Amino acid sequence: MAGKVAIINYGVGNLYNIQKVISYLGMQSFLINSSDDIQDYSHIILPGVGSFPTAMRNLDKGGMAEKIKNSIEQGRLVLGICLGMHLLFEKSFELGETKGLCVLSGEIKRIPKSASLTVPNVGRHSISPQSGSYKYNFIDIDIDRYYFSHSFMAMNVTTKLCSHKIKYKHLDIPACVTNNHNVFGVQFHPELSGQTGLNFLNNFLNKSS
Amino acid sequence: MRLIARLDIKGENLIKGVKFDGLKVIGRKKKIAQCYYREGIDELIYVDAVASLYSRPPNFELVRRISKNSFRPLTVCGGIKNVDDAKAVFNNGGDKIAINTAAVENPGLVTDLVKEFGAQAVTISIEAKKIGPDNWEVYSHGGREPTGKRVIDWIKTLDTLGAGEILLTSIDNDGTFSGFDSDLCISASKVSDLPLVIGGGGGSIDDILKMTQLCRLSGIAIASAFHYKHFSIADVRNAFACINSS
Repeated sequence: MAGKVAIINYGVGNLYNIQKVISYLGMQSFLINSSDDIQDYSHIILPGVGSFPTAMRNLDKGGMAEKIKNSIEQGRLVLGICLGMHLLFEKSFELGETKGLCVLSGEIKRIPKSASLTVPNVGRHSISPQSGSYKYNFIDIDIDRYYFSHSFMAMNVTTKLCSHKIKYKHLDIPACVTNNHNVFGVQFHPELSGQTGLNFLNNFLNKSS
Repeated sequence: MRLIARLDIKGENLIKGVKFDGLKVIGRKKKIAQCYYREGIDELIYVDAVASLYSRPPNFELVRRISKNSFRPLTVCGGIKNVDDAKAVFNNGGDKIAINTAAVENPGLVTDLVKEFGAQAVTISIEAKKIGPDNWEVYSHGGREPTGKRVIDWIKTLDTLGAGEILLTSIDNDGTFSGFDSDLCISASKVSDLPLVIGGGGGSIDDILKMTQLCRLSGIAIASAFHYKHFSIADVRNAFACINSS
């Protein structure tokens, strides 16, 4: 069942760009609504558009949250991008408190207010590998500059889950997280990070579980 | 610092004026967008120069064509009047929208767009004309209509409305290669924490370097200087690399 890619649709639009990239990389992707089945897909992408509460509401509605968790248990590959990464954690404080998929331990909070920090954080950052953490063991991950655009970030993440961080002025922000097996989350947008991002996605999509 | 190429479009053509006037055709835009992407630009801004003037939405088909083989953020500006126009931009490959005229006419639209798409997708474009010492007025309709709003007050309002980013262009310096309006940019950067992208007047690499030292900027938008090849994207990168390594 290699090479069948599901893009989970939270119903808030703009999935065109992630579809565009996957088709550019020569693979076919399918937009999956909450009520659809995801048994047939080898790769599941949680895209980075919308707000946390809306996305979770949508995932819960059609039983998609459970279906994603089951797929993870079966070892299928999951990549969460930006908001999609946030959904993998326990809870978020975006627009009130909302429970997440609870696949990774940690929570999502607003980037702290500070005189020197511009929020949202928009722009390209190099990512630094963290010592003592799991690695993206089967994805070659470049430390080159990736495109970030976010107001919320992962906090209180278990050290070993966070493989790469960025330094945003004085603040360390988790950039890549993984369960050391089949679940990956990135705060950046690989689909908007030029060739570096294309390489990253290509590596993920060509990995078989 | 994000380096952004600004593409002003009229009909099928890439155009550029001086002080938002005397628009000249430079070439077909699809090729130029691809060219800047391949040269390593951070982002592109596509501006429909006359959409608001003629009261029509952006050309969504063009947005789709420009974004097709470009894997960098694309902001679409010009003629977006409501949530549906914005949705059509996103469904055709735009990553962000920028609004000016519609925000001036209906500031509540800013909040509506942010609720629907998130702050990171909503940029407010401000066309600023100097009317006195440390005083600039907001213009709408592609730099043609005075609005009576003061730029600095408008930025404060946009901050409270929840906008995600400000694209601030000096009408006086636009297309002149005379450098950015540094007083305007410094004043703007002091009144809000929002990401600030400046444009209008960038004629040399020194202009760019100077502004990054003078104020807190998220990005710099360059149009004429790239189109007329005064310097390249690589030249700017090299200049920054020299500074960072020294």
